[in-house]
Order: sequence, then structure tokens, then C-alpha cells
Amino acid sequence: MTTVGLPHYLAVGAALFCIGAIGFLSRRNLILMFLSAEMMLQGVALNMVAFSRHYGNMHGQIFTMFLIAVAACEAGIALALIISLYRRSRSLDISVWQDLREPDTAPMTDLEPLPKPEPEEDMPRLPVAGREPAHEETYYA
Amino acid sequence: MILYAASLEPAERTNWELFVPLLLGIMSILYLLPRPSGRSLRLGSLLGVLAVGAFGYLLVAGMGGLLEPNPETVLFTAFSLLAITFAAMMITQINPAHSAICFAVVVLSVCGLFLLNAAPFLMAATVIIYGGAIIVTFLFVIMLSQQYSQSDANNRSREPFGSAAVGFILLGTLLVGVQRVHTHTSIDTLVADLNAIAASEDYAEVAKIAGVRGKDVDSRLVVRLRDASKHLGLPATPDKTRLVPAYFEEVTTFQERELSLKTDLLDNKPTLLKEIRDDARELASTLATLKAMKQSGEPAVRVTLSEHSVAKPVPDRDRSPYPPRQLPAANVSALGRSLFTDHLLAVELAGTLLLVATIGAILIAGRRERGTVS
Repeated sequence: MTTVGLPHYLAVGAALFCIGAIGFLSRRNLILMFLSAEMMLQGVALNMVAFSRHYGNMHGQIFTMFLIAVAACEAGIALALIISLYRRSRSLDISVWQDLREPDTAPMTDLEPLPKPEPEEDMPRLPVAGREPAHEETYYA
Repeated sequence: MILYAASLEPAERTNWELFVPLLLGIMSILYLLPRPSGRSLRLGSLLGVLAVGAFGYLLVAGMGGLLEPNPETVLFTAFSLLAITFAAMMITQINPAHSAICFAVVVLSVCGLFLLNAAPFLMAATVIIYGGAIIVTFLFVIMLSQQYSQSDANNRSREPFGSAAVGFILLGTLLVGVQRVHTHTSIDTLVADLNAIAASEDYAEVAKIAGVRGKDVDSRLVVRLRDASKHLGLPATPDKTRLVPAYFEEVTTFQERELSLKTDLLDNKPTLLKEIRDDARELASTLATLKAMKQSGEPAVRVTLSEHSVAKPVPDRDRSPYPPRQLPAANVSALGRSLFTDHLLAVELAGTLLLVATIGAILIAGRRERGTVS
């Protein structure tokens, strides 16, 4: 029987960091990549705070405050970049920017086609109400 | 804090069993990540639950057994499970708006863990800052992504196997490192063995416990002592001017006694029983003291910092001579004082960094294409 200690918090922080890394590497949406990077920072912040409690001083918490400040800077720049990239390509897909690769590398192509979108549900329509009666061509403005 | 993995029983540490949760986790992420041919939510989540369970089992087995049933354990388990579950959900959602909601749950759970770690100010700051960040992200999702159609960005993953493998191998490495650095149970068994040697009446028994291995080879006990001194981060040549006096004394005693025990055991003569017993008794007590010193977080090296940066230890002399230092929960004023005395330059630099980042963000986002008006 032990109590909850530093290693347990370190393990949770490591798990958050690695899940965030997987998200950053595997997803193609710019916004999701940004959120994954923020989650990696959360894992690191948890480590720092746990160290702070373990050693009984404030240095870990102060480091976390600087980490939050840097994360805020990163968020601002990242969202500005997302806007600017979206303006140029009209897409949030990061793979659009593979145009920036080295000239002698092969481009990445998506082989699998996207599934067809589900057919729109048939909404009830008004029936045709018969012949249009004769009427004067008057328009009310 | 030593940052290398010191293994106390090198022959017995292989960690092959770690591959089970690693493979389960990789497969779970592979099944859950969006792909055009469809994904298997049910199989993926089942594998994910199995992976979390296996990781938890290995961690509990490697870090000194089950946790005591007390409120901190319950809260820690609840918050950490919530955080990890919703983190996995966040990276596997197709709709980025759902991802943002999952991220909010992750942030709130991490805030709960902050509170458990006596960081109320950081908890509040994180809720406020990340709350704002998540709302902004929501705005971006609504503004930029086509909500009701499929897109390359949301329905495809890039290298799902490679990224899952990289992430989980990194996780496995980190967990093995954490477990090896923080296993103090092995030092406890070493102390128990030393005490058994000190109490034994018979040289054959001593030789058996110490694991004497012939004339020119160090006995297993000496190897374990060397590993323990590495694990505790003892300096090879203690410097009297740099170290705290009590720590210096313990380290020199430990090293003298270790050397004498080593030579006695190498000689392997039953007539040396009394010396070996004396050395073992002394080593057991020094080792226990050194371990308590390391756990209490007392700095071993003389440091000069403002007194505000270090919380005052709570005296608890009944339990051990060096009690673990307790961080009081109401520490916001200590945080502020330390921030503006020890770290003043860093605060100014962080402020400058924020200002520069703001200007940069405005410049990057505000650029218009040539010839357009709005």
C-alpha cells in the first residue's frame, strides 16, 4: 500500500504528452493539431506542479506560470497562422501545404476515396396545386 | 533528482510485459482514428480500455503496490482516468467542435490534479486562460470548417500506424524511466538484508545473504550497494565545502563502510564475521538516513536563494528524522513573493514575449491579399 506520489502524477503527465503527440502527428486538421500541442503542454505542466509539491517549494509552480505564458503566445501565433493559411488555400488540411516539400520528393496522394455523403433525407413537399389562375401582372414594391 | 535510470537488480529487469499495453494502445488508436473506409468505434474503445487497464496494472505493480483507499487516491484516479479517456477521445473525433469539448474536459481534469497538488492559483489561471482559448477555438471551428460535409482534413489521418507507434513507444520509455528512478522498495530490501547480516551468528548465512561469488568477483551485495549509491545520486568524491555538513558526514561514512565491507567479503574468511556485521549495521542505518534525506527534498548542496522560495518544513519528528516537506495548500502569497523576488527578470521577459507575440499575431493575421479591400 502506498500513497499517491510523484511517480503517479508523472505517469499521467507522460500519458497526456504522448496522446497529444499522437494527435499532432496523425491528424490533418490544423485546429486539431493546435489542440493536440496544447494538450502536450498540459502534460508538461502537470509534471512541473507535481515536482513542486514533491520538493515542497514554489519553483515548479512558477515554471508552470511561464509555461502558460509561452503557451498563450503560441496559441496567438498558431491561430494567426491558421487564419493566414486558410485565406490562401480555403482549407484546414495540412497536406495542402506539401507544395513546400523538396523538389525531388514524391507528393503524398490519397488513394482511398472519401465515402459518398449520406443522401439527403426526403423532406415533404407541397403538391402541385393545379393550373395557375390568370391574374394581372402587378408587382407590389 | 537523478535523471538516469539506475537499475537495482539488472538481471531481473527486462520489462517485456510492457509490450502488451503498448500493442493494445497502438491497435486501439489505429482502430479509432478516422479513415475514409470507416473506423471501428466498438473494437477500438474495447482495446483502449484494455490498454489503460494493462498500463494501470503494470504501474501499480512497479510503483510499490496498491494505493491506500483515501480521498486523494479516489480523486486522483477519477481525474486521471477522465483526463486520459477524454484525451484519447479528443484526438480521434471527426468533428473538430467535439474535439474542442473533449479538450475542455481534459483541461478541467488537469485542473483537478493541480488542486490535488496544492496549486490553487494555477488551477484558477488555467481554467480562465484555457476557457478563453477553447472558446476562441470554437469560433475558429465555426468560422472555418465546413460543418456538414466530409473533408480531407477531418476524415483522413496521416500515417496513423507510424504516429501511434512513435507515441506509445515514447510513453513506454517514459514510464520505464519513471518507474526505475522512483523505486525505493529495492533500497528497503537492501536495508533489510544488511540488518539480517548484522544480526546473523553464522558466516555461512552471511555469505548466502551477501551472495559471495568467489575470490576476485565482487559479491552481489556490494554490487547492490554500488547501484544504490548511484540511485541516491551520492557524489563519488564528496566536497566538504560544497555539501551540507550532515549530508557530507553520511556520505563519507557510507563510502568508508562500503569499501571495508567490500574488502572483507572479497577475503571471504569466517574470522572477519564481527567486522562484516559492524559494517552491515552501520551501512543499514546510513542508507536509511540517506534515503530519508533524498525523499525529504532537503538540498544536499549549499544553495543561496531567497528564503521565500522555500516553504517551511512542517516538523514531524516522530516519524523520521528527515520528514518529507509539506507544501501548504494556501500558497498563493508564497507564489507571488517568489515570483517577484527570485524570478523578476524572467517575469519581465515573459511580459516582453507576450507583447512581441501579440504584435506578431496581428501582423500575420492582418495581412490582406493585394488588391482586396476588406
